[in-house]
Formats: sequence, structure tokens, C-alpha cells
Amino acid sequence: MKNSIDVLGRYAGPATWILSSLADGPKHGYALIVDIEDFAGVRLQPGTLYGALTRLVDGGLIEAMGAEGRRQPYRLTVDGAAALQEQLTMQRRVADLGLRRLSTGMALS
Amino acid sequence: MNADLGTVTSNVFARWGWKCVPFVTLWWTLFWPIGLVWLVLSLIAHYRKADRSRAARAERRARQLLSYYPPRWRMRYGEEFVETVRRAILDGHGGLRLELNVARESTVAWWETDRRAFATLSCWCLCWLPLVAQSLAPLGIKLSGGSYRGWFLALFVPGGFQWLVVGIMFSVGVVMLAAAVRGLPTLRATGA
Repeated sequence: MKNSIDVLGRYAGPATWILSSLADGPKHGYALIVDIEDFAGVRLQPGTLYGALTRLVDGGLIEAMGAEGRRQPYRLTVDGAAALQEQLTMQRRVADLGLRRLSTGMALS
Repeated sequence: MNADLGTVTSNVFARWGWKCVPFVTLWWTLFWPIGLVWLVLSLIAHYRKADRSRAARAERRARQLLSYYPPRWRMRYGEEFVETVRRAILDGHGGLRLELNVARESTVAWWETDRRAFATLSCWCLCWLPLVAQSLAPLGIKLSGGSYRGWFLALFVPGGFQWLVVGIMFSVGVVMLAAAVRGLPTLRATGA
């Protein structure tokens, strides 16, 4: 799939966090860092954030809105929302499976 | 002190471009004590002139980190990147991790936006390694009959192979330097 998050390589993790953060509305760079730290417990460094933002913009998964002074808010595109949905569904499948196997394994031991 | 070293250097560079390099080198070779005093005075003047408030320092550091990125990237993300970095620094996240992260990501950005400029810059930065440190320096040690081996690769291989390694390193260095000189117009065109 052209717009899959997986094609972002080592930026796939940050990309998922960024898309999840933008899912409830547009945010600018620093607001993204704070929000991601809040819900994922990971503080993205500015270099990593802008590396991922560049790829997401180039991939058409997010888009820049009108600048507010020196701040540049970004919002999710339709493709971005679809890619996020696909990614999170896959992650939930993996998480469900892992948790099920873990509980089975714990019960057997 | 208006005529500090930075101002003079940028004026000379703006007027003569890369052609000023031999003259500047000659000037520093002949008059380096004066240059050294001038450099110290310039640094003191620069330090006294600079706004040392926390906000101003954060802004300066953010702009310095932005300068790691290629010009095209700076045009696209410059101001918002500075704003994000500035706020990260003011929030107490401006340590070595930030420096290393920006250094790594800007290298990736150079590679992705302009591979030719990246290669030229790499050749400029690294050509001294094979050319001087791994060929001319061990050559000097060999010719002077010294026994010091240090980190000179050529001196760790047996007998006649030492000349071979020196020759290969020298060739690699010359090729890198030639590539760097050849790539200069490209580098200048990018505005680096």
C-alpha cells in the first residue's frame, strides 16, 4: 500500500505517534512533542520529529496549515487517517495475540 | 569593536569568495601572532556584545542547530524548527541528546536532499585522514626511521606492504580531495 506507515522505516514509530496525536485535531511541532510525551511516555527530539514530519508530508499523510507566527500546525489527511487506522488495527491484533499467548503460557508454567 | 574577526572574514569572503583562501592562509602564516591577539579581542567583544538572557541564548542555540541542515530544508522548515527547538531548550531539554539528535537527523537530511553536496562535504571533511594522517605521516615516520606506530595503519602491516598501504591511502586521499574541489561549485550553488 502506497501510503502505509511501514514504508517510513525507522520513522514508523514516531510517525504512528504523530498521526495518533493529530487524530484529535491540528497541532504544531512543540505541541506534538508535549502531547506524545503525555500519551506515549516518549519525548521525541526535535530532529526526529522533523525527520518524521518531512516524510509524512512528502507521503501525503499529513499537511501543513497556515502558519501561526513561527508555529506551523499540521493536520491529518484522509490518506493519513486511513494509514493510521490500518496501523493501529494491526498493532491491536499483535497486542491481543501477544497478551493471549502470554496468559496461556503463564497458566501452563 | 566593529571590525572584529568575524565581520572582516565574512566581508573578505563576500568580496573574493573562495579565491581569498590562499591570501588568508598566507596572512595567517606570516602574521599569526597578530591574528591570535585579534581573535581573542574579537571573541571578548562578541561575548560582551551578546544578549546573555536565557531566551536569547535558547534562540541562538536553536538557530545554530538549524544551520546543520541543508539550505533547501532550512527554507522549508527553518522558522518552525527554531521555534520548536527554542521551546524544548527553555523547557530544560537542550542537552547533549538534542545536539546529537539534530546532528544525526541533519546528516540524513543532507543525504536525502542533496547527495552530491553531501559527498562533497564528506570529502572536504575526511580527505585529510587518508591523505595526511594515514599516508604522509607514516611516510615521514618510515623515512626518518622512527619506531612509533600509533594509529597509523601502514606501520602495522609487514615489510613491503607498508609502502603499498601508504600508496593506497595517498591515492584515496588525492581522489577525495579532487572530488571535493570538483564538487565546490555544486556546494556553493546549494548555498552551504
